[in-house]
Amino acid sequence: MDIQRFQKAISLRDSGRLQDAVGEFDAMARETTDANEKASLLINEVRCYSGLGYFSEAERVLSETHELRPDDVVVRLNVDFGGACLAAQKRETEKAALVFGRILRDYSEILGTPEYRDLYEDIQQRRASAMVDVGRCAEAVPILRAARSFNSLKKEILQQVKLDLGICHAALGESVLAEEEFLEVINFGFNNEIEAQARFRLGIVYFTKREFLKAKQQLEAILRLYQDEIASLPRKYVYEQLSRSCHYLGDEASAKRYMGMAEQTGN
Amino acid sequence: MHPDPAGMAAVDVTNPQSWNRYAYVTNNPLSLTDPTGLAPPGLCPVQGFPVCQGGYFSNAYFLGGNALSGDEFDSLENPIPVTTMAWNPPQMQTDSSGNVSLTIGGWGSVQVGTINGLSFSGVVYPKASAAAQAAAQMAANAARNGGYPRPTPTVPKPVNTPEPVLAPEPSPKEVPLGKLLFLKFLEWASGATDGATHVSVPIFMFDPCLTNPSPSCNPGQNP
Repeated sequence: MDIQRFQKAISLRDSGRLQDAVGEFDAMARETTDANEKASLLINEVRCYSGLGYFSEAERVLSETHELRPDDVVVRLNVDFGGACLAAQKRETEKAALVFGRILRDYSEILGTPEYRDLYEDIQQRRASAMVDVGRCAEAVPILRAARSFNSLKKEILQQVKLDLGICHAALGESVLAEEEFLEVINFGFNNEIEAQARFRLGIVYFTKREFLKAKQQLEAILRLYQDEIASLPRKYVYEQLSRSCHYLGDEASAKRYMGMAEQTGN
Repeated sequence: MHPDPAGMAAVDVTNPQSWNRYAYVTNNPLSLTDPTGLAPPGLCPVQGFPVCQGGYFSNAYFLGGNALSGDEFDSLENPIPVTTMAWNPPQMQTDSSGNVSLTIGGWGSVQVGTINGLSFSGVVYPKASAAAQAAAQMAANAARNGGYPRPTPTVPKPVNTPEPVLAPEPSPKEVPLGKLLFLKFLEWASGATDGATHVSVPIFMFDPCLTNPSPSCNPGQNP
């Protein structure tokens, strides 16, 4: 393998030039006959397609990678991990949770080494997140609690762990714990999509506890702090929930105004 | 696959570093550099067989020849230290599958591991050279550097439950007459001296069957 060329392709990927990186990885993969080397290059290609949102292309290359049957355990581990991540991103979360669990079982020896501790923690967090997405909260909570002390997780990932914990506590009717987790997500101060979601979910927790003023404050904070569209949180939802909160606060004028805004909003 | 006993004997057991898959620079880090981050020149990678002297055969197997024939050394944990290599030059070929072979012509004087003076003839095949294996692993691990994209949780739809009770609990005054049951007349007599005046005051009670229904209750009936 031409290491310099490979590193150049990685640089292209990391600078956001995913399509160019795909071309490089693909060309290098076609030039080698070694199954492990080819598979390791193709899984990089899968990662790039995944980042571009080209899921069918990613699936095609992943399938090609499986057909190579690489015999190196590290390469196989990375191929399986890439496949599980792709499934999660495609919202095939039940499948993703299953594959992440299988990886933990099949590669327990290598994942138990200090060298691969970060991957172990990454897999556990992603597996728990997939479980939350399909409503398997009771199973996910112990993993998420353990994940709070994973050293390798970046703060942004830790923020998502806490969001997932909040979601689970809310789903299990543990509103006090849910409130705590959502507030911690907000306290990271990242002003990102995850925080917006936490505010919305916290607003719902307060609403169901009939703390309408607190609900209104969280929901209005979303409108104030996030001027741009939030992909995972339709603005219509925020307006609707605000309208209902205002209604129960006796502020019918605001309730009507927000409902009008919800109706005008496309999504 | 595992090396047979002869193969294990070929490993330098006095050099524990030779068993360490990560110790490419072994005991001599100053002279064995690692410019590519993969392997030092002393390790026998695909490109390095002719200059393998003083390095290691690793991930290789031998075909033909003497006692080492057919032994397989298929992991980096069992490298074969080569201290001298007497013939020159060995011939390296690459077949159509990319396997690189080193043809050693005739009996040579080579020291392999602790078996000093052992010479052999045959072909050394790197099954997957240490360098190639390390490169493949490095490339595979690089796929997840920086992290695969993570999906954001789907947000729940707005909720409107539970419906809060905004109206206050009805007071007894507001209870419809239909929900009151006549109990009895209270006879009240005034104490006036010019003759007693009798007044009948009707007494009502709340229908218990409406406020606390039970199977034995008949609403509208006096208890």
